[in-house]
Amino acid sequence: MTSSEEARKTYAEFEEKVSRTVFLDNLSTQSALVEMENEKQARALISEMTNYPFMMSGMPRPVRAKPAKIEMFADRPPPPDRKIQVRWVDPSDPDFVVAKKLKQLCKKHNAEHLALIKHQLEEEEKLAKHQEETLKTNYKKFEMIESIVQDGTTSRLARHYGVRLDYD
Amino acid sequence: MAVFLHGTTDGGLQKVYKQVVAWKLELEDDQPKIMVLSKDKKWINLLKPRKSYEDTIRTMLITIQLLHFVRRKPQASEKTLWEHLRGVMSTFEVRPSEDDFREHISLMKLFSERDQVLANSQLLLEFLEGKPRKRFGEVALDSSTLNQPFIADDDEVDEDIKDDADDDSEDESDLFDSVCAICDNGGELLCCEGPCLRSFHATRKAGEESECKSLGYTKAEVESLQNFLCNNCLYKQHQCFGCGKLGSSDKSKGAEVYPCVSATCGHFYHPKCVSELLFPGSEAEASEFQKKIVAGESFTCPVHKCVACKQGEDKEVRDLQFAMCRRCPKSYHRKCLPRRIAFEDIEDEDIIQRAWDDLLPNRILIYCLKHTVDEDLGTPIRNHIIFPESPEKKLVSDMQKSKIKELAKNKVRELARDRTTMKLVKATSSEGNHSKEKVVRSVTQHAFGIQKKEKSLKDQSRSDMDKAVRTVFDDNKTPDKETKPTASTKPVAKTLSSFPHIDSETEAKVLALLEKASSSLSLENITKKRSMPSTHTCGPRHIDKTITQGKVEGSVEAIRTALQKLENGGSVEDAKAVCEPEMVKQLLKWREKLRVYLAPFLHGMRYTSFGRHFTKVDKLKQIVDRLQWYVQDGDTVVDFCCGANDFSILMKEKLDAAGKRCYFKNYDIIQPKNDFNFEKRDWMKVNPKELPTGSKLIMGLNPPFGVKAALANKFIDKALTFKPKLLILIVPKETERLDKKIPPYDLIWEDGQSLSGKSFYLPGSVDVNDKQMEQWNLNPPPLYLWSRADWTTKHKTIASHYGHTFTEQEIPAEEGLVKKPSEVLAAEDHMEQEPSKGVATSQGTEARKEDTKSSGGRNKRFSAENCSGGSRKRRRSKKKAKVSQAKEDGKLSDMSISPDHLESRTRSQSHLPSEPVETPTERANNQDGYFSSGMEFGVTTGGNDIFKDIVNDDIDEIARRYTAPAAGEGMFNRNSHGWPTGGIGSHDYGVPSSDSRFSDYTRSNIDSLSRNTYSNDIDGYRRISETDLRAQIRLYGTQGQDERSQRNGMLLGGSDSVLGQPRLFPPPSYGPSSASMVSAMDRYAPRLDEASYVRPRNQGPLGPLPGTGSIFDYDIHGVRRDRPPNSIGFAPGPHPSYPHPGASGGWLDE
Repeated sequence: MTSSEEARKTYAEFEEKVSRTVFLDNLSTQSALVEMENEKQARALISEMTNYPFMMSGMPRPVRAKPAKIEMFADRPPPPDRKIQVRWVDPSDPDFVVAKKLKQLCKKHNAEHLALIKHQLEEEEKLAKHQEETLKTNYKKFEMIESIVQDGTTSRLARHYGVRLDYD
Repeated sequence: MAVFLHGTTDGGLQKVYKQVVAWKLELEDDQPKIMVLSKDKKWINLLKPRKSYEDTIRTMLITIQLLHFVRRKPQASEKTLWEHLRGVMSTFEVRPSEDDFREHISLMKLFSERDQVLANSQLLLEFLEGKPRKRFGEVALDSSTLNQPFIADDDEVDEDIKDDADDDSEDESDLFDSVCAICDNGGELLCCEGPCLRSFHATRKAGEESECKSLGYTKAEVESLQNFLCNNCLYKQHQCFGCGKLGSSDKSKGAEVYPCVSATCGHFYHPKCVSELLFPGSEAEASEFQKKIVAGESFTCPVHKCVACKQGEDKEVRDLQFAMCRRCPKSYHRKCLPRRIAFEDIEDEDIIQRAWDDLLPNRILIYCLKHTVDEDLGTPIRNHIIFPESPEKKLVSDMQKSKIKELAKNKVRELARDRTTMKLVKATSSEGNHSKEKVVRSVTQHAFGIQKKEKSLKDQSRSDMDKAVRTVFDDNKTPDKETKPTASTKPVAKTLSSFPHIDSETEAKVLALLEKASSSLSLENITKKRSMPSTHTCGPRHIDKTITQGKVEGSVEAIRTALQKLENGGSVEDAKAVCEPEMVKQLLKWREKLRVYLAPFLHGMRYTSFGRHFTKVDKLKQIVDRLQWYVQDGDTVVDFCCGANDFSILMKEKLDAAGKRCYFKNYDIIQPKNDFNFEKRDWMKVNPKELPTGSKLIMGLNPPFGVKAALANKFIDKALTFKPKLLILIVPKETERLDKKIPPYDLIWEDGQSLSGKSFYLPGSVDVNDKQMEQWNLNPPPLYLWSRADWTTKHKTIASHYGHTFTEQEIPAEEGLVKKPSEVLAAEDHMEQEPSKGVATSQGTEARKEDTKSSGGRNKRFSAENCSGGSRKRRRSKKKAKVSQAKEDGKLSDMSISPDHLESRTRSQSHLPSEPVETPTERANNQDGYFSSGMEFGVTTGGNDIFKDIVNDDIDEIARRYTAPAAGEGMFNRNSHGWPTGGIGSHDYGVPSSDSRFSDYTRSNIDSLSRNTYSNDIDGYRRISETDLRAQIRLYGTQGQDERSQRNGMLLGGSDSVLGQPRLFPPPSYGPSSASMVSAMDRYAPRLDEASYVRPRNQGPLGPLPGTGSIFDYDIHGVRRDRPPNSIGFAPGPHPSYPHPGASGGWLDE
C-alpha cells in the first residue's frame, strides 16, 4: 500500500501548500497565486492587503487577497481516497434525469456568475472613470496654481504687495 | 454641600469615589490642568469627563482652553485662537463657538482679575465685554479680528503650521462668499466648481433655517456629486449682475456677458451694463470701455469701489471693509454705509435690518435701499437667480412630450391589436394572414416600409408574422414587456436557458440580488472595519471641496492680471482690487493642500504609504554598534516603528555577544516578514502599562516623518509618555527637540553625518532591475541620542568613554578645558555685568547693538531657540517688555483657589529631576534675565511654575550661583541646552525638508529660503568673538539683503583666523567652576554639540555632493566650499546661495 500512503502524503503536502498560498485577484488582467513561507505570513498578508490599499507606483490598485483554495491549482493531486467511476447512462435510466438537472443547474449558475462579473466590470469601470475625473480636475487645479507659482508671478506680486509668502 | 468625585484612575483599573473640597486650574503647562483637592488633602488631576457629562462640561472646557491659550499667547489673534480651540476640542462633535463661553464670563473675569497676562489680553477683554456681534442664522465662525495687529509669536507660528497639518477643516473659504447664493445664509453649502464662485444650499434641509428653496437635491445625490456645476456654469449662461438678464458667457461662441476679473468676485456683466455703471456720467467713455471689454480686455466691476467715496476696499482696516449688496453691484465702506442700511431694526423710523456682519468674511452683507426687504424672509424676495435650461434638454423634453402623447395613443391601439393577434394566432393560417395584415396596417400607419414588407410576405408562415409584429413594436419603441405576446416569448425563454450566454432574466435576477446585498452595505461601515493607523485617520483622503475649479481659475487669472497691471505701471490699489494680497496666500495654501492630496500621483514611484521608509541594514549596524554600550542588562529595547524589524535583531545579536540579556518589543502597523518580538500595533495605542518602567526602556528609532515632521513629533510625544531613559531617534531636523519637551531630555550626541547618502529604502519597492529603491535625502535626518535628565550623567560618561562624542569631531580630550566659541560668547554675555572678567565685553555689547539693528529686517518667524547665541540676544531686546511682565506673572499666575499652595508646588516639582533642568520657555527667560543681573535671573526663572518652587525656596542661592564669578551650573545648563538648538539650523529652513516627499515641486523655494536665512547667517557669524569679523558683520547689517546673501561666502573666505580663535580664549572664569560634578558633566554638552561645528574642519573641503551632507552640507553648502577650514560657529546659517535647484531638500531619487 505504499502508493496510497504516498498519495496521502503528497496530498497532505499539497494541502499545506494551499494553506500558505494567497490568491491575488484583480492584479491587472490576471490573478496570481503567491506561495508564502508559512500560513501565518499568508494570513498576515491577507489582512494587510484587505486593510490597506494596495499601492503600485504610488497608485492604488484594486487588488484583492484571498486564501487560496484547492480548486485553484490546476496541478493538484487527486484526493487519495477518492475513486471516480465513469459509466454511460441510458436516457431511460432514472439517473439520467438527475444528471440532466445537474447539468442545467451548472449552466444556470455559470450564466448568473457571468452576469455578476459583467456587472462588476461595469461598476469598476464607472468607478475608475469617476476617480480619474476627480484626479484630473484636482490635478488641473494644481497645475494652474503651479504654473503661476513656477513662473514667479505669485512671488513678484507678493513683492509688490509687500507680503511675505511661505513656500514650503 | 459635599461634592464627590467619581471616576476611574490608573487607566480605568481603579475606581475613585472621593469627597473633594477645592479645585484649581493650572494654565501654565502645555495643557490646562484641572485639579481637585480630595478630603484627605490630595490633589487629583482630572483628565477626561465621563461621556455622559461631556455635553455639560464642554462649554466649560472650551472656556478653560481659551484661558489657557490666551494665557500662553496673549498676543495671538482671534483667528489662531479659534484654530487652536477647534484642534483641542476636535473630539467633541460640536465645534466650539463663541456661545460656548458666554455662560462662563464670570469665570473668565475671575481669572483675568487674578492673572496679569490674562488681564492684559486684548482678546479676552473683547470677549468679556461681549463685543456686539449680529448674526442671523448659522454663521461662519471664522471671523478674525482685524484691529488686532498680527504679531506672530515664534511658537505660535510653529503651532499654526502644525494646526494646518492636522486640521483640514480650517477656514478655507475665507476670501470667498460663505453664504448660499439663493438665501444669503450660511450653513452646509455646496460650492459650484465653475466661474460663478457661488455656493448653494444643496438640500432643503441645509437651507431649512432661512427657508431656502435650495437646489432641491437629496442627500444621496449630493454625496455622489463629484464636481458640481450650477446650471449657469454648466451651460455657460450667466446672469448680468447689472441688469439680471441671462447671457451666454461662452467666449468660444461669442459671449454676451463677461466676468469681472477680480479673484473673489464671480459676477458677470454685459459690457454695456458694466460700462454704464463704471462711467455713469460720460457716454463716450462708456462706449469706449464697452468696446474694450468686447475686445477681450479685463475689467473690475463697480462692486470693488465704494459707491460713496469711490475708494477701494481694505479688509485689514475695519472702517474700510466693504458692505456689499447681494442683489446689485453696489458697495459701501463700513464708514460710508448710509444710516438707513442698518444692522438692526429701528421701529420708530421704520428702518428694517439690511446689514449683517459676520456672514461674509471681513465684509458686511447688505441689501441696498433699492430692494424691498420681505418681512417674513428677512431678505428681499428671492427671485434673483435664473438658472438657464439646457438648450438640448429643452429640445429633448419637447420631443419627449410629443412622443409620450403618441405613445399613449399607440398603446391603446396596440393593446387592442394584441388581443386580436392572440386570437388570430390561433386561427387558421390563411385567414390569419389576412386579418393580421389588416391589423398591422391599421396599427402602424406610419411604418409603411414594414407594411410593404408585410405585404410581400403575405404567404409566409405564422412565425414570420410574429417576427414582423415584433419589429413593428421595436420601431415604435414601446415599452413592450407587458404587451409582448406571451405565446411567442415562452418558447424563446426555454431555449435560452440551455445556452450559457447572459439573458436579461438572469441579469435582472442577479442585479436584484446585488441591490439587496449592497443596500446592507455602507461606505462608513466598511471604512470602520479598516483599521487605519491613528496618525492617519484624518488624512487628506478627501480634498476640500471648497477649492473649486472656478475659484482656482479665477484666482490664477486675477493674480496674472494684477501683476500685469502693476508692471504696466498701475497702482497697487488697482491691483488689489483685482486680487487682494490674501488671495496669493490662499492660493499657496490651496497648492499645499492639493499637493498633499495628490502626493501619490505626483510622486509616483517614490511615494510611500504612511511615510514609511526603512533604514538600511548597514546603517542600522552602525547605530547598533554605538548604542549597545548604553544598554544594560535587563533593559527593554522598543522599536516603535520597526519597519522591516531589523534593528532589534541586530541589537540582540550585539547584546547577546556582550552577555547582556535584554528584552525587545517591536511595533508597527504593517506586519514585517520577520516577526521577532513583533506586535502589530498602532504605536499611538500602546498603553504605558504594557511596557516596563521608563528606567528600563530604550526607545527608537525611525518614525515616519510626516508633513513638517508632524508624525515624528507625534511618535516622540507618545514615546515620552513612557519616560524611557534613552531615546535614539532618526528624525528630521525640524522635529521638535526633546530638550524643548516637558520634562526636557538631554542630548547625549547628535550625528548629522551617518545617515547621509543612501541610508533608506522604500519598503517593498522594486525598480525595473529588481533592485530595492533607495531613498536618500539631500538633507539627511540626523541621528540623535537623548537621555532622560536623571540618566544624563551616566550616559554622558559612557559617551565619552567610548568616544562617541569625540570620534566624530576628533577633538583631543583636553578640549574640555578649551572653550568653543559658544562658551566664549556665553561667557561674554555673562560677563557683561562683571567687567572684571574681561572677556571681550566691548565686543559683546557691540554685537548686541548690531543685533538690534539687524533684527529689524529679520522676519519674525524666526524662533529664538533656532537661532544661535546672537538671536537669543535679539530676543532679549525684542521681548524685554515681556520678560518683565513674565516676572510678575510668576507670582500672580498661581491660580489655585485652594488652601494648599505648598503641597501643589512640591507636587509639581516632584516630577523634575533633582538638578534644576530648565524648560524651554524658562530658558528663554533665563537668558533674558541673565544679562541684567543675577538676582533678576532668579526672579525671572520664578516666572515658570515648575522652576518656581526651587527658586522660591532659595532665590538667593541661585542668584549667587549665577552671579558668582565661577559661573556655576546654571551657566552650563544653559549652554548645554541652548547650544544644541543653535546647532541644528533654523526651524524655518527645516520646513521645506519636512514634506520632503514633495521636494521636486518646490523648485521655487529658493527665493523664500534665501530670504529666510539671512538672520541665521548673521547669528552664526556673531558667535565668533572676533573683532575684524565683527566689522564685516556690521557691514552686513547695512547692506541690502540680497547683497548680503551674495557676499556670505566671500566674507567668510576672508576670515581664516577664526578657526583658532575660540581656543585662544580660555575664559579664566570657567576654571573654578568645575567644582561640582554636575557642572563638570554639563560642560561636556557644549563639546558634544561641537560635533556639528568642528567636524567640517577635519573633513576638509567636501564637495557639494547632494546627499553626502551632514547638517552642513545642506545648510551651508556654499560656505563650506568657500572656506572649508573655518566652519566653526557658522553652521546654523543655511546658506542662501544654495547651489542646488532642488534645495528644498527631501527625498530625491537620482
